[in-house]
Amino acid sequence: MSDFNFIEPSRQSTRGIAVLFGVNAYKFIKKLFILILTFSYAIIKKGEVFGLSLTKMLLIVFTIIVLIVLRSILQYLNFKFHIVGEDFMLSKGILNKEKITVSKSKIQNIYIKQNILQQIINVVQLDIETAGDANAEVNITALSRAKALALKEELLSHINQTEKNINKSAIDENNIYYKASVKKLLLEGFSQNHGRSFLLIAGFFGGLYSSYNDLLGELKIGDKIDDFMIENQDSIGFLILLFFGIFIFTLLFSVIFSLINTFLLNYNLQVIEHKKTIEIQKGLLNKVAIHLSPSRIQNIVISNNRLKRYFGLNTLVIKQAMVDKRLLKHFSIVGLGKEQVTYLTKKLIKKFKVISKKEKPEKYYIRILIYKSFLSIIFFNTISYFVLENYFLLINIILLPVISILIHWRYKKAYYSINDEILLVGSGSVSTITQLLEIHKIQAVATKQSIFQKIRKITTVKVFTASKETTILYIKEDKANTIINFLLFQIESGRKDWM
Amino acid sequence: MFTNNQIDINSIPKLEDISLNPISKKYLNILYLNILLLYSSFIGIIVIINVLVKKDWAKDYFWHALFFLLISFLFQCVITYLGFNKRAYALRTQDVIHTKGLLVHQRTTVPFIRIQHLETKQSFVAKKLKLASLYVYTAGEAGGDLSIKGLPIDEANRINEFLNNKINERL
Repeated sequence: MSDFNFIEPSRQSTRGIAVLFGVNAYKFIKKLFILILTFSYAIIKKGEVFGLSLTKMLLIVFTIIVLIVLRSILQYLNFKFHIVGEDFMLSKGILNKEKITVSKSKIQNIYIKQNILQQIINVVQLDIETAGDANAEVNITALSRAKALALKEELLSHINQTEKNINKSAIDENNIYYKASVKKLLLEGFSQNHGRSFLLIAGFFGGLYSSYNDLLGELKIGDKIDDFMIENQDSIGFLILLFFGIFIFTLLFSVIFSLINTFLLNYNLQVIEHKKTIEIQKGLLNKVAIHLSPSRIQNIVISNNRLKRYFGLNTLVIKQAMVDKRLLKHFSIVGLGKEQVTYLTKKLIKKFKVISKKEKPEKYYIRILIYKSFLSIIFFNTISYFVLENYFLLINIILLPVISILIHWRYKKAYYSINDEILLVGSGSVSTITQLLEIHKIQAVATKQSIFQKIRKITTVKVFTASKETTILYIKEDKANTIINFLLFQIESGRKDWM
Repeated sequence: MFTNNQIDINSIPKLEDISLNPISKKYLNILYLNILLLYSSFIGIIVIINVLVKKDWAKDYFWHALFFLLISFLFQCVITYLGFNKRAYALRTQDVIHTKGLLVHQRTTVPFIRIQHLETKQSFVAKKLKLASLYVYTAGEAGGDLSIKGLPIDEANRINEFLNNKINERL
C-alpha cells in the first residue's frame, strides 16, 4: 500500500533532532524566563553575576546548549514507534522509559500540524487523539509529510470499507467551499472588538512598567517623563491631551495587534467540504488541519458586530467534544458571509433552521445590569480621580451614556428560541452572539435562582453539553420549568446518542 | 408504525411537582466542622502575622480582621443552618435531581442516559458518621456534573447500584 514499513520500529526523521532541540530550548527558556531576564539585567548593569564574568557566563550558556542538544539526541534515539496488528506502539523516554499502546479502534482523530520550525525544516507533526482524554496522548514531532500521511492512513485503516470509500470520494471531491482572502482577513482584524486587546495591552504595559521600573529608572526615561509632567502639570488641557494621546496610541496598537493576531491564526484559511465532514486549514506559523464531523459537534457560536455585519464578516466557532485544549482556538472560521454561515451551520447541524419566535428575558435583567455597572462606574471614576483630580466627575459625561447604551444593547440582544430539535440563545452588547445547540446533545440541565429572584419568581436556566455551558438568563419560573421539563422529555424519550 | 403526534406540553412530567428526599441530618456536623477548620486556619494566619510583625498598625488591623472573621464565621454558620433544608435529591424513572443553596438556589438534573460514571466518596469524618457522597459525572467538561453529599452510607450504595444498573441497561 505504501513505501513505508510500520511493522519494524522506526524513529522520526533525523531532522527531528532540530525540532526536539527547538522544543527543549523553548521549554527551558520558558521555565527560567524570569531568571534569565534578571541575569541579563544584572550583566548589563554590573557586568557580572555572583562574581562570574561575562566569559564564564558564556561558557555556562554554551554548556546548557550542549546539554540540550545531548538531551534532544537521546530523546530522538529513544523515540520509536511501530504498528503491531491492531495496536500502535510507542516507546520513549531517556531514563524513565515509557511504553504507550493505543488500539487503532480507540483513535478518535489524527491531526497533522506544522509550527514555524517544522515548516523551515520541512517536517510535520502528527498528533494522535484517543477517546477519553482531553489531551492528545501521542505526539510525533517530526515526520516527513509522505510518511505522516502513510501512517495516518495505516492507523485509520480500521474504519470499515464503506466509510473509507466515502472518505476516498470525499478526498477526490476536495471541494474548497470557502477561502478567506487577504482583504477579508484585514477587515476581520480591523473590525474586531478592540476593547479586549486594549485592556490586554494596557495591562501588559502596566505590568511591564511596574516590574521594570528599576530598569526604566536606570535608563533615566522615567525621570524625563516626570520632569516633563511637573513642568506642564498646571494645564488641565495638556493632561487631557496627554490622556487622549495615550488612548489613541493604545487603540492604534490594539488594532495592529488584532491584525497580526488574525493573520497569524487565519492565514490562508480554507474550508474544504467533504461528503459528511468539513475540514478547516489555516495558520501562518502553526499550520493546522481540522476535521469537523457533525456527530461530535456540541455547540456552534456565531458572532459578529455592527461593523462586521456591514462588511459581511461572521465568525463561526465550533465546539467539539474531546478536543486537545491547545487546538481549541483553531476551531473557528472567520470572515464568512451570511449565506455561508447558514450553509455551514446546516451542514454541521442538519436540523438547523431559523426560529422566528424569540422569547425575551424579564426586565429584571436590566436592573441587574445597572447594579453591575456601578462597579465599573466606581472603577473609572477612581482612575479619573488620579488623572484629572478635582475634575474627575467630568469622565461621567462620556461614561454614563456609554454604559447606558451598552446596557440597552445587552438587553436588546438577549433572547432565546427553542423548538423540538434545537435551542438558540442570543447575547452580546457590542458584538452579537448566537449560540446554537442540538437538544439531544444536552448532558444536564439546571436552574439557578438567587433569594431576590425567588421573590420575583425569576430564574436562570443552564444547559450543559459536553463542551459548553449555555445560559438562558432571567426568565419567569413557570416558563423555566416548562423549558426544563420539555428538554428532559426530549432527551429521555429520544434516547439519541450525544456523540 | 411510525407516529409523530403533537406533544401536549401539559402532559410532560413536571419536575417542580416532585417531592425531594432530604439528606442525613448528621451531615450538618461535617459542614460546621469544615467552616470551623477554614476559619480557624484564617485566624491562625492572622495571629501568626500579628506575632511576627511588631508594628503598631499591625495591632489595629489585627483586631479589625479578627472581628470581621468572627462576624463572617457566624454569618456562614447561620446561612449553612438555614440552607441545610435546601439540600435534597430525588430519583425519577429517567433522571436524578439534586438541589442546594439558600442565597443562590440551584437545581441540577442529569438524565440517566447521559451519566458517564459514578463515584462514592467518604472522608475520614464521614466514615465515622456513616455518611458518603455520591458523584454523578456526565461527559460535560463545562460542568453539568452532580454531587449528592451527606447521604447515609447504605442509601448512597443503594443509589449507586441503582444508577449503575441504569447505565448498564443501555449498553
